[in-house]
Amino acid sequence: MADVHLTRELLWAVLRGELTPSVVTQVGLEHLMSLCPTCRKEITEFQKERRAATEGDYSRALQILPTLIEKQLPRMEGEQRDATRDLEDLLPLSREERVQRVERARSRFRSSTLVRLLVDESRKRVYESREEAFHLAALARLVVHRNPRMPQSFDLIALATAHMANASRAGGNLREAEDHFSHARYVVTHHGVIDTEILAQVDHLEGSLRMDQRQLEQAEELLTRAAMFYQVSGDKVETVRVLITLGTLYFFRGDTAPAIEATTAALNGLRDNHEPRLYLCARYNLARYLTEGGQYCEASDMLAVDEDLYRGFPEPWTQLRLGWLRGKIAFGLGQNGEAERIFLEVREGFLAQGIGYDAAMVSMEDLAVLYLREGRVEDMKRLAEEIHSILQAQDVHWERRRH
Amino acid sequence: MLIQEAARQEQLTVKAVRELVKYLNEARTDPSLRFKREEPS
Repeated sequence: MADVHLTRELLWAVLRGELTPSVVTQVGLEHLMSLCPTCRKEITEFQKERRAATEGDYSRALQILPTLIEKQLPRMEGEQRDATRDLEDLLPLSREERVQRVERARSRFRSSTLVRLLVDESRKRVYESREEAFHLAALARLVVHRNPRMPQSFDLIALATAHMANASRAGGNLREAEDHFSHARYVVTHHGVIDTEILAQVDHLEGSLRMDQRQLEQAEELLTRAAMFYQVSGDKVETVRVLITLGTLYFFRGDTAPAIEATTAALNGLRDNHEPRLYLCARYNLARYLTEGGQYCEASDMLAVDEDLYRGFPEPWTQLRLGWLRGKIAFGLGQNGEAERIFLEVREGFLAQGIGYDAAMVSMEDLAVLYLREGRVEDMKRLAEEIHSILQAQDVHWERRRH
Repeated sequence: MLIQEAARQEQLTVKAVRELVKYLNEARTDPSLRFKREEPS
């Protein structure tokens, strides 16, 4: 934690009432202790005196610690086992039945471990079924509400609410997402949420909403702070995930250089064998940004190095995007014939997968530019008709909304 | 359809296509967005 600075983002967040001052105090004290020997000595002495005054002999505590752990460990394992069983019993039920089971139970479905497991399930399902993800996060919140004595109850309410908001966002309901985030933020500020891992998740998820709303400045602030909190809580993988999101944000904004910088930093904190999907995502994004920045040879070299990695993800979604990037690189290197062949193949692949939006984007972003640059007027007219058919088939009418 | 009309009239440019792509990307997460073509400078 000592390497985390007391940044403007943190201080403004306290002033705006988004964070409690205790979080900043904690970060500031750790940082001060790492820099100044006098402060470190004074604070350490103070902590010792305080412990001695309140808890007596510290060595006594050390003596009883192993016994305490021995006693607590089975309890924790038991809690994990019970929560897993609760989750397994809930998941096969319909949504209404799950709510009824939780509401009617007297002793089961009450633990904070179950709340975290439900939130994890919500997170896993957010892109396959938004309704299910929303329901699971709401169910997690219901579990907290049913047990007022649950430790860290407000932290968990903020966490579950942020995941409800995220499911709304993923489902395209940005207004509903905004409402849930307001509630999560209220709980964070008024009920003293200081769990850095939860604060990081709330910031990360809200940052994604601000990106979708194209409030890029606010998104950048939230994502930067999320990265800092993940660092504080020691979660390297989540720190990497936020850095990748930050890279995407810069790319959307048209800032290729910081996008490359953030994604390179993310890759430095990651090994492919630990989180292969995340690693692939970061490597792909970096090659994409290099291509956009005109560094075609570097991007091409990256794809060559990563051949085995991509082979590990044979599903069409990944392979089509890889092909699309290869086409862009070929076009950038002036290999127009090869680029056109790849773009047409990728477009057909997207159509076969029912992903008409991406098929239309390959047509407009790349094929149209290629035909226009080569002055192929008739091909361009035919392509425009094809784009029209694809968008119509996908029920995409945005193009008509011109003012 | 804007792109069809412009292609038929042979008035489509790389810049116009890129504006449209940018708009489509943004409108994907904000359906209330309306396309407004920049005037040629």
